[in-house]
Amino acid sequence: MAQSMRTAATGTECRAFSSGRRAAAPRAAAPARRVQQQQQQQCMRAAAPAPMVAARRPTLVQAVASQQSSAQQQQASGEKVWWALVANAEFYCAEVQNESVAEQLREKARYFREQGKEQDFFLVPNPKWLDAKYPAQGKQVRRPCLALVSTDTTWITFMKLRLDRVLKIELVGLTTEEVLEAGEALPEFKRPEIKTSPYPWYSAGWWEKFYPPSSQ
Amino acid sequence: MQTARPVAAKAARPTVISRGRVVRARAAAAAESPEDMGFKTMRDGVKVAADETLLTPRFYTTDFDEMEQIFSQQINPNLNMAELDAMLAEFRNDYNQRHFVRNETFKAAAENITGPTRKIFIEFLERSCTAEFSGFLLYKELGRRLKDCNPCVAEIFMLLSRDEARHAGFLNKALSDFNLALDLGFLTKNRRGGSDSSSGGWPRLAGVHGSWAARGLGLCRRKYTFFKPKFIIYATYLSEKIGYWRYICIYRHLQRNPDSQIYPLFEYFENWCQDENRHGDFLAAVLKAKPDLLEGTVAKLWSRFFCLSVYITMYLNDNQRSAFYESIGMNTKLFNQHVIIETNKSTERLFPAVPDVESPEFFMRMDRLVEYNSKLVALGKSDLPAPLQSLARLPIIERMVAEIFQIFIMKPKDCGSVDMLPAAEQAQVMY
Repeated sequence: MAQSMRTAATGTECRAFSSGRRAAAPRAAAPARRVQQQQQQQCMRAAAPAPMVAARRPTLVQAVASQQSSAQQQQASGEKVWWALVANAEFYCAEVQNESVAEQLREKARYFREQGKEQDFFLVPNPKWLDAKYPAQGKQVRRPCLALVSTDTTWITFMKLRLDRVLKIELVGLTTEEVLEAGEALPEFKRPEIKTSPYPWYSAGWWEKFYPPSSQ
Repeated sequence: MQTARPVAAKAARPTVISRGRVVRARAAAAAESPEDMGFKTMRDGVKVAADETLLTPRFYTTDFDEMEQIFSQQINPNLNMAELDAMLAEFRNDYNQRHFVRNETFKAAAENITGPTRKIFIEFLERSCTAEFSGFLLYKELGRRLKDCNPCVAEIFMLLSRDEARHAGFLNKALSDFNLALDLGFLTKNRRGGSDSSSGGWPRLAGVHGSWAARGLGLCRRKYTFFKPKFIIYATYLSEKIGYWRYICIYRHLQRNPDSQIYPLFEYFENWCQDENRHGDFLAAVLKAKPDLLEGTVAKLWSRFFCLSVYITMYLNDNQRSAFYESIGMNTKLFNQHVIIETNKSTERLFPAVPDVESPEFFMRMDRLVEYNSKLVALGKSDLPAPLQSLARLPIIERMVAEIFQIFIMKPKDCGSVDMLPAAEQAQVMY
């Protein structure tokens, strides 16, 4: 038994997804009405990707209209608009508090694979555009730094809410190549030993798995 | 002790059970029957839940009319919905839709857990399951009540209750590995019956009590603890965040110490606790949409009060049950301290003030509280007659109150979200 459990323990990334069955809430806690509702939600999800959330409510559309105008222009020209959350690299790579970012990005990458979607988020070390295009904001960021970039503005809003101490920049007018162009590689971080922690740090370099393909 | 009473952290709001709640035994073919393990039975196969104590958390209810006013977009046209919309999109993704699928290792693992460890495992599962179920009930009711005044927030609450139901169901299945189960379905069925009436939250919940009594299964009425909406929001934010930190610590500890992985439930914790973390983010968005809850002296006092209530409740509860954490190879005190420090750091990004938990004085006083609490527990188990027990309790409670007061007046840390700073100050922030 112990042997089989150990195998299961190490296979954390690929557990139990083989079954296509819906996750089991207790039958009675998931009465027919709820199931029905979930089905409706699924239909809505299928029909309406994230931006619909905004489109459904007029008040919000007004609120974001000004933000989106430049983005819309860019979209009209066929270019994706990127958003960035920038902070010094220690914040992302050497704070226990933000190790949850590693979990989130793994979860999101897994979700994209399951959905057959193309990954729309990356971590860019010392992005070239920061000083070149945003010198004023660049002065607010300690170096070395790391930028979480994505074309999904809704998700970026969520990540800003989660991380809070990150600088949010809309990368208007930048091509995807420009957005993903990394600068100098990050140095090795000294990650302090934390005496209360019941576990060691995530392996250094987890962030490199989310670098743009060009700089990996 | 009063400060520790009202709020119970979610994972640390373990037993939301009133005296007399029943746990039914599934099968007689148990490795050890509930009776063998010293659980009281009210009659054949029906277990009486543990006695309620000061630290025993409860089911919560709130003023749903006031909640409607808080979220109504007609009353609050300036309600900042951008972050709430982002949260809705996140919950709709439903990252864990296919996560909670059991495998064949559960049953055998449960059968290998014997003796005192088996008993504390059952207690852990029972407390966790009812805590998740408590969240399910509250969120579901909020989802129902806010449907008209704010469809976005209502849908989020529904999706939160989806997650909580999944978690509770998964824990209840785990209990079945130990030949026990909580009758969640029974409770839900009765709630649904009550909710078909046009009555509000309170009468509906009262209807639950009525049905329970009518069916003759519950000896006492299930108690619902009432909290004003703003307190529910502060408290659930903290509960969800502390829940995340507890689960991720256990998960990562066991991932690195597979020999202590004595039951496969914990392997599910990494994805599981992402739900908790996101729930916390939603409540953060709610608080940021109502800035008056995050600004000013009163907000600061409440922030510190709720932080301390949640931290103290968890610290006392877990230290009282350190055998459980030791059974999976953890040092309960260090584990708890880590969870509190990190939960406090998460909270610093939102609340206007938090206790300074990294000052040495903080855990020195917390450890004293643990000592006093274990004296109280020992007294309760002693043979002293009840009136003498109460008398002997008084000086200990007096010490605890004094200690909690000392912790409360320690110099707090001023903090909060950068988004709440005036624009001019935001431009000065170094990232």
